[in-house]
Amino acid sequence: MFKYIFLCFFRFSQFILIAQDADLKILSDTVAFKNKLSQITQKTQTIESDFVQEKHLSMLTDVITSEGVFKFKKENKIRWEYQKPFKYLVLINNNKISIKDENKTNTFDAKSNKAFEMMNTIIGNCLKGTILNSQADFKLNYFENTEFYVVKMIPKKKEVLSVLSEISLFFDKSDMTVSKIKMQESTDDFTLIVFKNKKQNVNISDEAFIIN
Amino acid sequence: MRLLLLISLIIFICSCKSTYKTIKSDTEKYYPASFISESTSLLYKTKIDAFGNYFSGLLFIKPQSSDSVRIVFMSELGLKFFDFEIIGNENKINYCLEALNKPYIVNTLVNDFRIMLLKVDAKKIKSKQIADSDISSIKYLKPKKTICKFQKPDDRVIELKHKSSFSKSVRITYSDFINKIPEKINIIHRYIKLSIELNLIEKK
Repeated sequence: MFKYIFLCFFRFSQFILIAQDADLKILSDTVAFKNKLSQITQKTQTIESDFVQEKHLSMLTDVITSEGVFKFKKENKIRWEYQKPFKYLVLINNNKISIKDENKTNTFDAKSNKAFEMMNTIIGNCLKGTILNSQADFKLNYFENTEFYVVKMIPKKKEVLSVLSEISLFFDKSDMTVSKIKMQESTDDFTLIVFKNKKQNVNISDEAFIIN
Repeated sequence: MRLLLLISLIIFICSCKSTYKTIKSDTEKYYPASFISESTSLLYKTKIDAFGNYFSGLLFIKPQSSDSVRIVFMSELGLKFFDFEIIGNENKINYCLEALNKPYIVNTLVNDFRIMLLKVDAKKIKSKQIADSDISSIKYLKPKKTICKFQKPDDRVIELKHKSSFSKSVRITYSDFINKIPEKINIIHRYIKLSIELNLIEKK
């Protein structure tokens, strides 16, 4: 009995996720979208936002949730600070990545870790508005609904494709900032990062991107 | 001279005799009971140092029925490293990152987690009480070469040593218990470069 209830719940969860995508229609005027994104991102110097990261595992009803604060400063400075339920800090300062885990700090070149390099490139390019120039590494498909412009990126490189089958970027139509990033794995599992309380062009010190 | 040597040998053998006592019949209280139940899922901050590869992330342990449990290890940023399932005596590999996806490494990892979660068919043979302490030590016939240390008053498992082959000898320690669930677990191999450190961050 419980098995059937669980299966019904699982199917319902899947239905909700499919339904979220179902209202998307193909974006016809991609040029206008690219121009709008370019104009807005040129004016963006900094972004500060809270984020909620959800890990959805197939066949499990549990969602593993973590929360923190995200900061970006042009040209290529990013701070991911996980605060709940664990403390973990990732700083990307140009091509250097620093990680503070508990009291240990590790700094390495972004190119030495392909997963981080990819994340660094995608997020940096989203915020700089140059993500739409990634045709060499991704096949890009454009969609929209009433709330978002959605860019679905399918990796072309085999090593990336073996880990992620699709990355969806949700640009808020009201301010053209990234509101959600969905990373679909080659299995049915995915990670959803939702950005909340976004503030643009607030003063962020360079020290925020240096580990103390 | 020969007599002296013989006496010395007898004394030596006697002194080496195990302090373990065979228990003929007893309750099953010294069979290691898993600290997870069907309704409990655990999230551990985890570091794995495996054969020169270092991984840091979150280990999610989710029992799915009385004899199956799902173990998923992912990075803090959400990328999955591996996804194992222990179903009865079977191990199922749902996913494993290419860097770790070698039979020897995968089998060692999944069996470590099986032992860590005490998902073993244990049969007690001998026990001993450690002098002046509340710890008792049990040697098992099955699985072979396994010693488990229990601590009173609730006979929680605090250490488990298991030797499965010539090269695989693992020691697992459990500490900082909250409601019988260990907040800290350490898995250390003696002969191979593999260690796992778990720190509980969430219980659902």
